[in-house]
Amino acid sequence: MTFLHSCQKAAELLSQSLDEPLDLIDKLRLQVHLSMCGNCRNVEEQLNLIHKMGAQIGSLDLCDETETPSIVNLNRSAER
Amino acid sequence: MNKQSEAIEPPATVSHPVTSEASWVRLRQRLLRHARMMVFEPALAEDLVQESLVAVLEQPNAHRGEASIMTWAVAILKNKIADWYRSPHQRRRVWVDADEIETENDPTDGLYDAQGSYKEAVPSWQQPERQESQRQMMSIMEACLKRLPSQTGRVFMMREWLGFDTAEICERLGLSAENCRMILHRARMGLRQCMTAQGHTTGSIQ
Repeated sequence: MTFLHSCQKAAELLSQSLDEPLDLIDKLRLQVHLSMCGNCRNVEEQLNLIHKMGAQIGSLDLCDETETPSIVNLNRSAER
Repeated sequence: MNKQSEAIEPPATVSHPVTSEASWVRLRQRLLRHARMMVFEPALAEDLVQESLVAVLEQPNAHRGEASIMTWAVAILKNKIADWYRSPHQRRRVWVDADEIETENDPTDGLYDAQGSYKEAVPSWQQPERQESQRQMMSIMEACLKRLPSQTGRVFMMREWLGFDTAEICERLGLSAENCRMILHRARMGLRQCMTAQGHTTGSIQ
């Protein structure tokens, strides 16, 4: 086992870190990996955004309720 | 149990934005969309929404403006759903399809090479700064949530939307900590990939 995580392991730890504190070794290894890996930094940013948005589902003020056509299409195709 | 037939009519005497019929219908539809994502029995979703609407109606002056009414109603619904999940007789019943853990397609299949590195560059997302792009991103996320295997989506919603901690989710659903972690990981990666595929990229591949 190398000291550095694979991207696959990094993604698992990124998800886990949103739910519970990582142990120190994992945390350090993850930080080193992220410092060297642009892909994983993008994944980190995206998982963080999804985490933040998850709490806001339904509470983002959608005052006029007019949904954009692309979204309507998305919903339709999802129901098929 | 199902009170769907007794659709609640807003009292005509209360002059409040939410009591216009169209707003009322929209509010109800919005709540139903969220409730259905969280509970698997349609009748129960209807009941929870109905109770939330009653709570809104009982205090018509608590909020001004439809946007805040919407937010407020969603908060009430969230509490009702959380209470339902926490009621003792719901224990473990929620997880109806345990096989899904094993049989569902892992969204990360084919994503990595043999060394566990991404086969293709991960595109970055444009940060949704303007309200319009935030709204659009939220709609895409909701659409992507519906495409997740239903139990996976529900665990994600329990964690992120209801704000349960993972220990409580595991306990309520009778899952091991390992399974919980894996399901949440799959949910997030599945959403990430779906949302990326929906075009929320800057196109700037690193």
